[in-house]
Amino acid sequence: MRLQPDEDALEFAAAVRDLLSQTCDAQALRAAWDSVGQGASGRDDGRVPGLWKRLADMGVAGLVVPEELGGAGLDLTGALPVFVEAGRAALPEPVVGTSVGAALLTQAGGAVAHEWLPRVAAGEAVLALADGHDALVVGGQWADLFLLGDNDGVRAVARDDVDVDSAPSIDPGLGLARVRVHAGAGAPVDNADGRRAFDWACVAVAGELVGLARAMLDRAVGYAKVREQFGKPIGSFQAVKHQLADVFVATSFAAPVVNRAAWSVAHDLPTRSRDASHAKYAAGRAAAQAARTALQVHAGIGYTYENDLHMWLKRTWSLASQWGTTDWHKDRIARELLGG
Amino acid sequence: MDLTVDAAREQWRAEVREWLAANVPAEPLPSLDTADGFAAHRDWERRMYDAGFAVVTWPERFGGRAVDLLDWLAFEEEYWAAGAPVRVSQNGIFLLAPAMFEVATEAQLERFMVPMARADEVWAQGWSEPGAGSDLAALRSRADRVDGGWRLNGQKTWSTRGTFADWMFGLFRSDPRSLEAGSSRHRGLTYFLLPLDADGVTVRPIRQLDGEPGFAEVFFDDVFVPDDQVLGEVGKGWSVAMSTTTSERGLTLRSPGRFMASAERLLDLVRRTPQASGRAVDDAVDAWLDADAYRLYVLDTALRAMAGEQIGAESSANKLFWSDLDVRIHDAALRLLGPAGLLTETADARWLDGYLFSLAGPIYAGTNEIQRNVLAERVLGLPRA
Ligand SMILES: Cc1cc2nc3c(=O)[nH]c(=O)nc-3n(C[C@H](O)[C@H](O)[C@H](O)COP(=O)(O)OP(=O)(O)OC[C@H]3O[C@@H](n4cnc5c(N)ncnc54)[C@H](O)[C@@H]3O)c2cc1C
Repeated sequence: MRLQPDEDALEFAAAVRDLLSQTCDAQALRAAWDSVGQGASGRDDGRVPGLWKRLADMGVAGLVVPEELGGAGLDLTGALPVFVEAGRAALPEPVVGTSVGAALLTQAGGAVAHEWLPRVAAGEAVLALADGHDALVVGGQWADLFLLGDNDGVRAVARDDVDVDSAPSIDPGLGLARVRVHAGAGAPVDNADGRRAFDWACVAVAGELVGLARAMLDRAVGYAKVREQFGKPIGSFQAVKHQLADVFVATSFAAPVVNRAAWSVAHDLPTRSRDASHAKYAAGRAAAQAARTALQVHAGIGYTYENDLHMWLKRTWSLASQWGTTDWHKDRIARELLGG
Repeated sequence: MDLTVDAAREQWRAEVREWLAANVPAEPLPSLDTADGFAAHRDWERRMYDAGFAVVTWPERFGGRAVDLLDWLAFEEEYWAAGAPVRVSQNGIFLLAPAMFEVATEAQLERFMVPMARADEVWAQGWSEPGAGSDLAALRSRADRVDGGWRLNGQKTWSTRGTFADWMFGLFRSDPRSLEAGSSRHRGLTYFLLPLDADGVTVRPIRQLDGEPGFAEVFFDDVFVPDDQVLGEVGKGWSVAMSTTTSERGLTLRSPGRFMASAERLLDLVRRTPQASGRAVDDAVDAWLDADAYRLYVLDTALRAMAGEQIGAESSANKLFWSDLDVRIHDAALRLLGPAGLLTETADARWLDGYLFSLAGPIYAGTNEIQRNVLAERVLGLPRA
């Protein structure tokens, strides 16, 4: 038995982390945020120029695309460590949305999958999931193909058949857009299990939230070691230490919950939805606590736009509320445990 | 990742479950903190020992089954789910035994392990003193060299089950100079094994929060202890003690099965409390989820340990989590029960007992404040004050 992702998945994620530390450091992230509204079309607003191509060359775009269609063929347990790295970097690229879409198409198979998945793996097409005909969509600004879930199943709708209006939010690196689908547009994706794709997305985002929590803890600890008051590092004060220790505990206990959920979703276990909700809930809570604490430990400097911390805070707030809020997931679990 | 459970493990679990179903007393045993209850719990341990279930992780020559950590976790889940009695021998088998297996002589293992496993000799822990709680290294009870052994003087306190226990494992200062300014207080301590009926030992029961004599203070007045009852090297008591502490905070003291069983009972309580407040229900669901999270965290730790990884100060995270979880489980239960929850003779009084006991969790085995210091300094690398 093993609850950690496999060694090779961890190694791959470490390589992604290296790439992101060079190409998407805080300075690059800040530049990406500042690019919003500067470009002509707005299509790539908030992204890091050229990064998607490099990620695709590494295999990140086609992470879960089957090997015969040009991808790496990983399941959710293998892809998860990359999502953690995306969170750690507060990455402003559609890694999760594209992976969720690719997982959905892979599961369904058929014409749409064969048409789009090779392009996804090559980094030529970006996917996004939309919940209904008029929805706020993460990565909607950037997507080429929308997978639209409603009561009748899943439809694949090309960008030409939707209206995309950017939805300015506190997190410009999210590609958030209001997406309206033209009546009758798109093609049905036969056999697509939209509910499972939703659970898949929850776990992937939970992975990002774990990465965010770790990043904020590292930032806060790093700051506590160098910032001095009363002639000592503030990290020597117990009130500071104990808050950071609590964040460490919350994060440490969220990670195995997220790992287990990846397994449950990948193997479509009967507890799949509950485990996915637990993952999103535990990771959302831990990341929210990390965000609060990191801000408190940074204090005045943390409350500025000039310090980098705010980009991680805002990504945390965004992801905690997307794909079902932390509270919504808790309620879903409660209903399942207690009935009613 | 691989979470499939192989057939041999399922079979082990089934064997444990079957035996417990046939053997766990239908009526709860009387309180461990009474003479009758203590005797009844000893009898239960003997029955477990005879069936080969008292110390499943130990080597077979001491009555164990040599199972690995995963099978131990399964054993514990089944044990608590079956509503089996608390373990009167737990100080010995969970806290002392890991240190014994690490440093004891062959003769000591031969002498002590089987009686420990059968609860013929129940062990108490003698570390804390009136002046040495969180700051354990300040302890002053002393051991002076004499012919053939040592003479102990001083006082221990808060010794759980000390009132009825037979033996004590304790820390004493064998080098009084180690308390002098400029020397390390952690040196000069020695770890002793001693019978509580030895000449010069006085045990005074102390009533705990629930009114029962659950712990004791123990006075030592020129108590002779022979050399072969020193555990590990003279002067190395601190490091022997820390090997106990690692297991205490880490895996063996509080297995997830215990909290999972309580959390399941808590959800049952919610289901039969139609007028339950939404807030209490919400907290109950949280507690259940955190019990599940604790199970997964310990599983992950166990798997990593089995793969050869060293488990270090992260065990402090473990202790913080389970002790807080246990309080929240019982707190939610008492809120669901309302005024009836404070009655002491009802079937639900186990929640009250459990609540009182849970409140000790953040105190013993190193207070939670100390654990946070450990995490902050040793894991996060923050500077000492
Ligand atoms: C139910 C129960 C069973 C026990 N069983 C045993 C046993 O079998 N054998 C045994 O030897 N002992 C036992 N103990 C004793 C236990 O180990 C001590 O109570 C514990 O180590 C704390 O010591 P203290 O009570 O002296 O509290 P103190 O050390 O006086 O602490 C008082 C408060 O101050 C805080 N504090 C102290 N130092 C610091 C610091 N550096 N930073 C921040 N906060 C600090 C503590 O966290 C605590 O909140 C038991 C205790 C209980 C409650």
